[in-house]
Amino acid sequence: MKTPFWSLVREDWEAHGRDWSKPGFRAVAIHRFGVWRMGIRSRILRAPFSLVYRWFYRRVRNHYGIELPYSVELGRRVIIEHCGAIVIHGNAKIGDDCILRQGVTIGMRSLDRSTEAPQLGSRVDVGAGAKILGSVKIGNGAQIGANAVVLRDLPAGVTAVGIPARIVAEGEFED
Amino acid sequence: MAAPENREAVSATEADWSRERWYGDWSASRLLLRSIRRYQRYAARRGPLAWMGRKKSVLWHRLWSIVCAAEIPINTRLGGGLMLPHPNGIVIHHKAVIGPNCLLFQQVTVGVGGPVPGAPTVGGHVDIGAGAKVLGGVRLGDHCKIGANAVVIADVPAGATAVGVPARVILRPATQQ
Repeated sequence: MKTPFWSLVREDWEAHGRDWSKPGFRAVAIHRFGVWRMGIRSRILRAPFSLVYRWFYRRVRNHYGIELPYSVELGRRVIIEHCGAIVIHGNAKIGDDCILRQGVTIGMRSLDRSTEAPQLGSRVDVGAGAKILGSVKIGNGAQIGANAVVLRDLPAGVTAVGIPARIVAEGEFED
Repeated sequence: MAAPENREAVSATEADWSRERWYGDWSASRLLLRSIRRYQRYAARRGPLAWMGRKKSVLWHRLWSIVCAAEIPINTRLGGGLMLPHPNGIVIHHKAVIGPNCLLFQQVTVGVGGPVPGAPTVGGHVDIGAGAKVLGGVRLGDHCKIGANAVVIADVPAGATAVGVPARVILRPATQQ
């Protein structure tokens, strides 16, 4: 059962502190719109929505510096705190209730493997300026420190910091 | 680990202009680079037409700098074939020299600071990862790679890979060993 577009956006709005003017909320809402318009089967009917989506996408990219393509598998209630230089790979997966901050990159590791992107579990907290690169899996509830560069899989619930990121605290819960 | 990529496949001396050509799309970084190239071409010429061309390029450069949120001065010495896939937050010092066929990701700073005075000299076909800062009069050799979020304050030899804060070389080319 797919969640309707408006209830998704309403959840995002509540997750962003009920503030429609937040850049993060706007970026996520445009992403939801981009996903919603791909549900229209007919290409001709979809074309005007695609045009509007692409206009908003560029606007979010150029005004707020958030690149969040609609092909990202975004979970529910994902929070984007602040804006600027947030770049997310089109094949990335982001679980429910994740928090992304300014300067976060979730992308490929090298140009010859450009389609490989990270997969984030639920409730992952990514610090400002952190980079998650390559086909890595981040477990549920992991915390990634500011300016960390994550190049390996992280188990659930851990805290990882540094370049390259190493685990400094183990998780308290299992799931 | 996968087979190491062939770093020599891209030339470090011959600019591959197809890397930065504008294809009529909404790629703001290519438009920014185009305005810089046009300004520098007009700056080499004299006469009222070149003067007008310079003024026009400056206006376009301002617009695309704002759209990209990048700070690349219009008279920076940039080699051809520069790629800026996500131009957000790129800052380049006006005295820095960038070689041909380089690749700069978002939030890269090439500027002054650090223990070595002066601005960096970046060689040909250098890939600088997201969030990396290259500070001071350091020299990055041809074909080298800088990891994400690294802070480079010392020279990096050709073909090497440097990561960390401060950056240390973790991988030297096989030919040098």
